[in-house]
Amino acid sequence: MRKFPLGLASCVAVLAIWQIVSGMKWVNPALLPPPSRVGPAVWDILTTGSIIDPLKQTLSLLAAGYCIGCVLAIGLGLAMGINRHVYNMFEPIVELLRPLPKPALVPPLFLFLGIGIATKITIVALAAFFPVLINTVQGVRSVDPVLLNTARTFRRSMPATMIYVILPAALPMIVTGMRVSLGLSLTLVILAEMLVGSTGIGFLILDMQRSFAVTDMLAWVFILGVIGVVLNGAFETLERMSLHWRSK
Amino acid sequence: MLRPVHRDASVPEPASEAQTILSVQDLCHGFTVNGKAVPVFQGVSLDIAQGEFLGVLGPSGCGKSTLLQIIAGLLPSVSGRVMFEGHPIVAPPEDMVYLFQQYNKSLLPWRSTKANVGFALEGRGLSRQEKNERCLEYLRIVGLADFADHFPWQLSGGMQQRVAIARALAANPKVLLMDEPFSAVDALTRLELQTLVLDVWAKSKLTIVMVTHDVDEAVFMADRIAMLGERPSSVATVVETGLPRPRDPISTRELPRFLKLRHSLLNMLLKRPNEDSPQRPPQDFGHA
Amino acid sequence: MTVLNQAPLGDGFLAPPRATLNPYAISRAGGWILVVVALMVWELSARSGLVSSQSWPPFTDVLKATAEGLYSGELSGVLLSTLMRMLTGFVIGGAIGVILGLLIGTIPVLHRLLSPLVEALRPLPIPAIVPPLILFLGIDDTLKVFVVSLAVVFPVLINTTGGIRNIDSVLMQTARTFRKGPLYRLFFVTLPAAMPAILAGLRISLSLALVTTIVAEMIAGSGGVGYFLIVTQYGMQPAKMYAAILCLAALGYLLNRGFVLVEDRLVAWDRRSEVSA
Repeated sequence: MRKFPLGLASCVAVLAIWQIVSGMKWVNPALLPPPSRVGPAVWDILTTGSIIDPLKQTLSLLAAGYCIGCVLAIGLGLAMGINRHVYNMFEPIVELLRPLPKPALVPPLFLFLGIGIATKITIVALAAFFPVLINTVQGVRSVDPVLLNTARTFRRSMPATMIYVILPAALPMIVTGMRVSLGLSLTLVILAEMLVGSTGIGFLILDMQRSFAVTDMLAWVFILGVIGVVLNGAFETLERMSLHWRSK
Repeated sequence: MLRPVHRDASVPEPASEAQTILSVQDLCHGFTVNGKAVPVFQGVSLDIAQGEFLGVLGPSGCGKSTLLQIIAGLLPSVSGRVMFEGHPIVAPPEDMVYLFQQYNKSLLPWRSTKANVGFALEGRGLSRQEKNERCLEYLRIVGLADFADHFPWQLSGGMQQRVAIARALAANPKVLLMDEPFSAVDALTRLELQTLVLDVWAKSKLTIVMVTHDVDEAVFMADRIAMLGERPSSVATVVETGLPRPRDPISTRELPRFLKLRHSLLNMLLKRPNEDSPQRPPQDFGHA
Repeated sequence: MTVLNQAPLGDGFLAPPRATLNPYAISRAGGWILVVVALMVWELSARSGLVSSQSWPPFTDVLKATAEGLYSGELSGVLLSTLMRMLTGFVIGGAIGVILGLLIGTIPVLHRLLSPLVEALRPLPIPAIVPPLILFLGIDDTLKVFVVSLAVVFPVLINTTGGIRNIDSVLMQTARTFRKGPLYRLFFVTLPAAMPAILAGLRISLSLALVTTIVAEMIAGSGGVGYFLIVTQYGMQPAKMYAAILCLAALGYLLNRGFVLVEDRLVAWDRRSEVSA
């Protein structure tokens, strides 16, 4: 029996239901235009190039904040995982800041740092920081002691052990943390764009909702969804490539 | 691939005449559990001669592995010391490699077999080509040259142990410390690996100290056997196996002396009364 | 106090446990001293006017605002309303997520059918779905509870499905050899075995629910702590704003703690790492 692409079928089914519900006016098409109208709108956005600027704004904010957050988190995480003193010094502060919902930091940061790009990048970096930090520390601490002792019996220096043993061994957990951070960072980029400023995909979506440009709004939501799927997919591919040795 | 192994002399020299390479002096060790001090061994002393094959036996919990790790420099002892070529051991010394009981966990899973062997050669300033050649060389010695690009998870337990052995040899040590190396493989693989290790030992000038719980294995492979007592343990007795080399996996195990040694050592381990003291060398060699 | 329960590497890899912990007691105290020092720096820099006082209130002012806000009901009111919305959404979304997860996890056809759909919808950021939903549901509680439920469904579903699919087949086959029917197996084997993963998914969703509630309140602009933060931001009332944040941090911490306690009692027999959403 040939493997029927059920997954694809369910996506198509959802689109079909959407089309019927909106086309038959069971739901007000002014509030939920059918895919037959949203689709061309998406196409329009892509072909006329009006996708370029907002895409650039949003993605560059995301990339900058995410990278900064990850790099700082991995750095501190390695230090905390390896050295108990560093861990003890930073643990209270981290544990106090961790339960705070990161969106709550958006208003104070805007108030304190102004409403510019630097603030938005800071917000994204803060969002990306914590999951990666926690996972890095955990990853380092759960490196098998046998591996560490192997490095010792072969008399490798501490820096060499860190690069060649600890980092690769902790990498799976670190990458998991980075994946969680990606979602959180994207959320905060969009949120920041919605609350302040007049650029980016987040701003567009909210602006179009307020001016009832529903079709275009849904088109942008769809585009954002695709971006999310693509980023996620790219990440998972990267994950698989770098962790191919984890097959059991 | 089970073949007898060759050595120059058929019976090893008594330890006192050969040069002592490792000297364990009055080692005491223990740890605290819930605030109470639990001694593991007290006053363990042992002299190991260069080039000899020493087996270490003992009941479970007597600290055999701990002793080996202290010798390896991986653990500090509470008191006493270990001298290696005249210098006290404070950290894992050069020219000594420790082989882990959980060999599968000691291989870096993200590296190929060849790269794993290469781990022993890194940080020594060798060129990439040199490293490559030597890795392949050692893999050839353990019979895994065809698996150079495989990953540990693709190998069987016995093969993984071979990789660990190849890696240990690549570091060119004078002393090899093996912690129950064959306890986790099946019986047939165990025989093959025993032969491999004896083979490698015969062709080199290695000193090997092997901890095992298997009396057969200890008697089969070693020149001398140190038997540790119950906790807090010390060296209860040291026996010369006195079996001729090359040792054959089948016929050596049928020798009367082998059986007698096995008998008395097992008696000691199982705490049964012993008919003849193992210190007195048996008179009869049977078919040597 | 933390998720991490193995000894860090700096202890000496195989070293016997020390009889005393003196060297680490110092650095542990140091960690808290660092917090106190940070707070003092905050206080002093604000009071001395080193930093613009408009947006940088002294810490003691924040504490005062917290006490006032809680006592007068202003702060406690918004916190409570946020909490209610969050918990409602969490319960609804959690229930749906577990049920759907059970179905998808146990029926392979459903898994093949729905998993791609779930994977396609999951990466969509929550803020993006709020404006479209506002059109349908307005800006009141209905909207926020709906958004929270929707957000919570995904990690719960994924973790539940993952937990079920990772059940050792030996367990299921054992139940079969004892000739237990499918319903029995579901309640007495599948559910308990998948419980650690289910609870892990719920725990992740708890903090996600709080985040989502605040996000929805910020965008919808009516009621709750999210909106309160925006109002105090534009109203230049930093003390009240930081007070709200302080309470939110405490709330987040307590929720997590409370859940972990419940989780521990339910699955004391097992500790597995979570499938991350």
